[in-house]
Amino acid sequence: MRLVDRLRVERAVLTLDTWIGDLPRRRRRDVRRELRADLLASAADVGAREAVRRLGPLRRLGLDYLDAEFGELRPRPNGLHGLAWGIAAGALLVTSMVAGSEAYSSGLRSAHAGAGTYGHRLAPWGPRYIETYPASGADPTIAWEFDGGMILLWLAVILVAVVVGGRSWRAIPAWWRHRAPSPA
Amino acid sequence: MTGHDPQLLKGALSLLLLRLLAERESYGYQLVQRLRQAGLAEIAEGTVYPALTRLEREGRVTARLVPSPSGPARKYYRPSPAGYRAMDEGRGAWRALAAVVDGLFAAPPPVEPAPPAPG
Repeated sequence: MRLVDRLRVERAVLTLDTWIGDLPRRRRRDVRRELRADLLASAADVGAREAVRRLGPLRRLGLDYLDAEFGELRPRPNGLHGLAWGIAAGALLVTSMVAGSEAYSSGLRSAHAGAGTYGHRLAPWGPRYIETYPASGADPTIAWEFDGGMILLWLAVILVAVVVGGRSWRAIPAWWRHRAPSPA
Repeated sequence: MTGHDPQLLKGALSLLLLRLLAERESYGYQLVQRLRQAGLAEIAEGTVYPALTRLEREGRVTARLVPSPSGPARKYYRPSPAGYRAMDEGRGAWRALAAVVDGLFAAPPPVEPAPPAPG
C-alpha cells in the first residue's frame, strides 16, 4: 500500500477516535484497531480514498459507536476530565493568590515598609495575606488567614469545575431524562 | 423504486448479520461484502460496523482476533447462543410483519381515501 493511502487510513482512524472519547479506554482502542483492519482490507479492494468515503461521516460513525456501546445510557460523564478540571481550577486559585501575595510583598519592599504588621485581602474570594516586619530589620514573617466562607467558596468553584469539566450531568440515566412513555 | 429503505434496513440489519454469521465466521468488511453480494449493493461500512459492536455488547455475538497475513489481526464474529435465539425470534417477527404488510397490500389502495367512518 502506498504511504499516502496508509496515511489516509490513519487519519480516518484518528478522526473517528476524536468522536469516541466517551468510550472506555480499552473499548476505544479495540474500535480503532478493528476499524484500521477493516479499512485496510477495504482499501486493498477499492483504494483508501473510497474505503474512507464508504464509512460515511466520521462524526456520525462515532456517535453510532457510542449508541451501540451505551444504548440508552449514552453519553457518560468523564471522571478523568472532571478531575483534571478540578485540579486546574484549584491550581488557578492558588496561583492567583501566590501571584497576588508576591505583588503585595514587592509593593511593601518598594515602599520600604517599617516595622509592623501589614495585611491585605488579595481578592474578595481570597485569603488575607499578612507580612510582619520585625523592628530588628530581619526578614518579614508571612502568614495567611483563611476564613470559612472563603474555603467554602473555593470548594464550590472546584466542584463546579469538576461537574462541568466531567459533564457529570450525563450520569442522569436516559430513562429519567425521557420520562414520557414510549408509544406502543 | 430502486435501493433499500434505510429505515427498514436498520430494523433488519442485526437479523441479517446474525444469519450471515451463523453461516460463516466473518470480520466487519467481509460482512459488508457478503451483504452486497446478497443484494444490498448500497450498504455502507459505517452502517455495519456499529451494528456489530451493538450485537457484541448485547451478547449476541462473540469475537476473536485472527492474525492476518496482509495486515493487522482481524476480529472475526460468530453468533452466541443468545444470538441464535435472537435470530430465530427475529425471523419469526419478520415473517409476522411481512404477513401483515402483504395482507394490507393484497388489494391495491383506492385513488382517494374514504371519508372517516361515522361515530
